[in-house]
Amino acid sequence: MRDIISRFKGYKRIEVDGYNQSFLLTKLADENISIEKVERKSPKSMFFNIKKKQCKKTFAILEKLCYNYSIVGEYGISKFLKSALSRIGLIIGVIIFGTVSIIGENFIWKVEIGGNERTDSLSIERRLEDNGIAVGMVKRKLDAFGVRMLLNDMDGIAESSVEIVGTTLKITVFEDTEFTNPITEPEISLVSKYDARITRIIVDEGTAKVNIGDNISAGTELISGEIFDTNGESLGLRNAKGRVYGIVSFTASTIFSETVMTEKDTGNKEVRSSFEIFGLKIGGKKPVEFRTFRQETKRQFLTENLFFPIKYTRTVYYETCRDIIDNDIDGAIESWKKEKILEMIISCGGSETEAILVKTDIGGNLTKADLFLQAEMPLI
Amino acid sequence: MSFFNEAIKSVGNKFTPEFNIIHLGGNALYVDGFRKITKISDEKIVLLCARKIIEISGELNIEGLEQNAITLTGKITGVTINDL
Repeated sequence: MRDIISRFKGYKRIEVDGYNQSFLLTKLADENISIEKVERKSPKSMFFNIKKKQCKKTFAILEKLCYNYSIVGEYGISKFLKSALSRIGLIIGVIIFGTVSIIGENFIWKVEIGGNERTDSLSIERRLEDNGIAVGMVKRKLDAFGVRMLLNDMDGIAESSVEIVGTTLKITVFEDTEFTNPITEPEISLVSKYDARITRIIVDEGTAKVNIGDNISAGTELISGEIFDTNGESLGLRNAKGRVYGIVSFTASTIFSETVMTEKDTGNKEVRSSFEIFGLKIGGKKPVEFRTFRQETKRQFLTENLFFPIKYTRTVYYETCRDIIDNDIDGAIESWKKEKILEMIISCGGSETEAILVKTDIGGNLTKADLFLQAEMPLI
Repeated sequence: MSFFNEAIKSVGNKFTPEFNIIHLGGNALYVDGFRKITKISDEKIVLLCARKIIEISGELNIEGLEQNAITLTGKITGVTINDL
């Protein structure tokens, strides 16, 4: 602190060459000259500070005593000001730069727009400019919510975000998802999926190519997309639309036996347990002695959450043997018939109109069942 | 009211000191009342008073010097006062 104060007081540091330094210092002190910071370089040379206003007197004494001296430094406010004045350009530049930086921080100097693919950046900028939001705007005057609403009103923009990063206004827009209708090929002709006898025709668009009562085969054109005027002149092609119903016949056959071979448990069982850790299986390797069997296996982790997972497996083998039992042929055929009718209704959308079942004994305890089904159903 | 006058008063004004020394814990030394510096080196400074010689030894820097007063800093190892 004293150093700083002394520097502003106005001091000169001088180097004095000459012997008998103690004599010189005493002499200078006797003449009321304040000496500070004496630094002896050698018995012949030393430095010290003297007050600026005592310089003339000091130099006169030094000259009178035949000491050589030189000024090696100068301190003080005037020196500081002189030094500052020589760098006035730099100082003014720093001040201007600082001022501009501080003031400039309060303005928006860049507008960044992102996230837009279909919407033109220029149109967003224009929209902002039309509402006074542009480069050079004062930051605190920006209403982020208002800008958001402004952008959200634009066509094709679903949502937007507005934020100020430094002196940059960052705008990110989220555009509407563009939905396009799937391109479909016009169906210029509708054909039958089944052999059938036509019962109903409902044409929404196009021209019916069959009549009620017609017997048609699968692949026959039912409705054409071509339309005609009353004179039979073609008016062009349309997307053929409509429904055509018909009676479709199905047949199914199967053979049933009077006896059925089944597997049944004998009551004997064997249990095998094993542990597994990191793929290494311990136990449960003993082979099962039953010739025929069914098995039930349960697996569970004993230490699922630990580093070493131990898996426990328990398998129960039930011994089985073959057994021949009498088959209820009528019941089995009836079940089969119901199953087939249901299959037709579910898979083809038809309604049952007629079902004829023919059972034939073909010998060897076997019966053949033939099922004839007729149903009205959509042909397209 | 100077520090030295107060000190003189405290001993009943019996003395008129030729010189005064303040020794600040071996790091600084103030001497006033000397007449001249008779020897100066980095290790020793000898001050001459009217009837005494003051020898100051140590690693010495002359911090300030005015008429009859000197301020020394550094590592002061000894102050010896001898009769002239």
